[in-house]
Amino acid sequence: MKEEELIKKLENAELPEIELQSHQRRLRMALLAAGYLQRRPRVTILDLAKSKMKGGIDIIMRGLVSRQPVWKTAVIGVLALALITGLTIALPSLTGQSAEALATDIVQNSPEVRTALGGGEVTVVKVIKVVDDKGTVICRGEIGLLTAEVDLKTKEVTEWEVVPMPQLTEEEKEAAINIARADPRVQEILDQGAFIHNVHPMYSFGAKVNLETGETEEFSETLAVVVLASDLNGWESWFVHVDLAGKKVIRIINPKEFEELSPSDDEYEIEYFHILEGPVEEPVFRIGKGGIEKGTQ
Amino acid sequence: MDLEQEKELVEKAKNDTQVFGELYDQYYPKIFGYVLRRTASIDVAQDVTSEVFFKALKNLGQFCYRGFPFSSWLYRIATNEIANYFRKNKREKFCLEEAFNSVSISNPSAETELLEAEAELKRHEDFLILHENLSKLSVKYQEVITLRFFENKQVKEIGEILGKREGTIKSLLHRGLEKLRKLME
Repeated sequence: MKEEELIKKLENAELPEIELQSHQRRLRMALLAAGYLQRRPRVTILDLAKSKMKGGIDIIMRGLVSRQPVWKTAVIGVLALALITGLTIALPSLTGQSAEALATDIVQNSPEVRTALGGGEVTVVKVIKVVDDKGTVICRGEIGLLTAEVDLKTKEVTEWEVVPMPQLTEEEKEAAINIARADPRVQEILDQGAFIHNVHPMYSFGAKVNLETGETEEFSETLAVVVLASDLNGWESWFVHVDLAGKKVIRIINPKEFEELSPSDDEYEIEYFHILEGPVEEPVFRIGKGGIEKGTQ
Repeated sequence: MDLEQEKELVEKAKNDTQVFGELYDQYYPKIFGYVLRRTASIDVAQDVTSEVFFKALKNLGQFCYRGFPFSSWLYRIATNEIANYFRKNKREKFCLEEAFNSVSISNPSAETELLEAEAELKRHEDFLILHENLSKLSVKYQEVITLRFFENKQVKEIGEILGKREGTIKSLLHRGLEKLRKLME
């Protein structure tokens, strides 16, 4: 073959023009999330956050767009990290106290919160976010859960809302199991040897953020969680989130993507979502009775 | 978009991730296509393309115009990432059989698209044969030949992408073509 022929062959080769829109979308989302983290203003406390996050961000970001099925995990991680960054950078510089600690103190020492929760001990479950000296804290007391908005400058609780302990009746639990069983994805897991471990309620709340407009829409709901478990290849569990009113399975989470967990025996769960652009519908973290199970910690 | 508009966009993107998103939308297909034509693997192309754009985002502040389009910079990062990939994987010899069998399963929503992409790649048998021969050459020859003939880059721009002088590129092209010709005989 002459060089001219080879050149002609190379020039005329029909090349693959392949588009992978799903990958393109996922990568875009990961890049935007990474960009937001990267461009946060630098403050001293951020160094602390950075040390915690060191090494984690890259792995998570790459996980988000990996061909391996871990991108949902990474989405959660990315959003969680974004949240952590939010928590750590927006500190009141005068106090010398971390924003989370300050928000916790304000809520725990608030007579209004204590009264609203039945007068007993108030336990802060999680400081959800701190932005522009305003914080959102979730805590629990004798009669239920409470979300509180705190002002870190005035050190006051500005708003609060009591959320009754989520509960499910036996009929609702049975309905949740039936809805879960009817889902082909659940059926597939059960066919592979998993069993239904338990059913518990879950209070789910959060915000959907439209990245284009910056508009935030808050939402809250109580779901049923059907926990599937299998010990065929070591402990593995799946959390099937069931919308009882809508009679459908909303999502199935396999914590193996995060870490090995034995099935939850919690009586209830709390989820906080922070959804960007709508398509991501996974919790940033989940809180059980034993504390934070996954995500940010 | 002309060079001036692009320059303006890149400057904005340094402070605005949304604007970076616009650049990304524009160049993702090119870079993904380039990596795919270098590696002939959908899976690898996804991973490497991801690395390219993360690095681009991370280092965008350091990017300066030197008379070449922004895409040249992305091509440079991509070329380095492909070389890294080959180094990390000890440059496993590519063979057609692998290309035909390398279907990977991702999350369900993307699975169909991946399978279609794999099938589409398989249909380009001439390209796969060319790639198989190209992959037997040193990476330095693969780089120049792919950029020149598959990406239609001029020698000057290839020099910018690879950080080499025009004369070196011409010489690499000549020697690379000669080696490829012998392989294909």
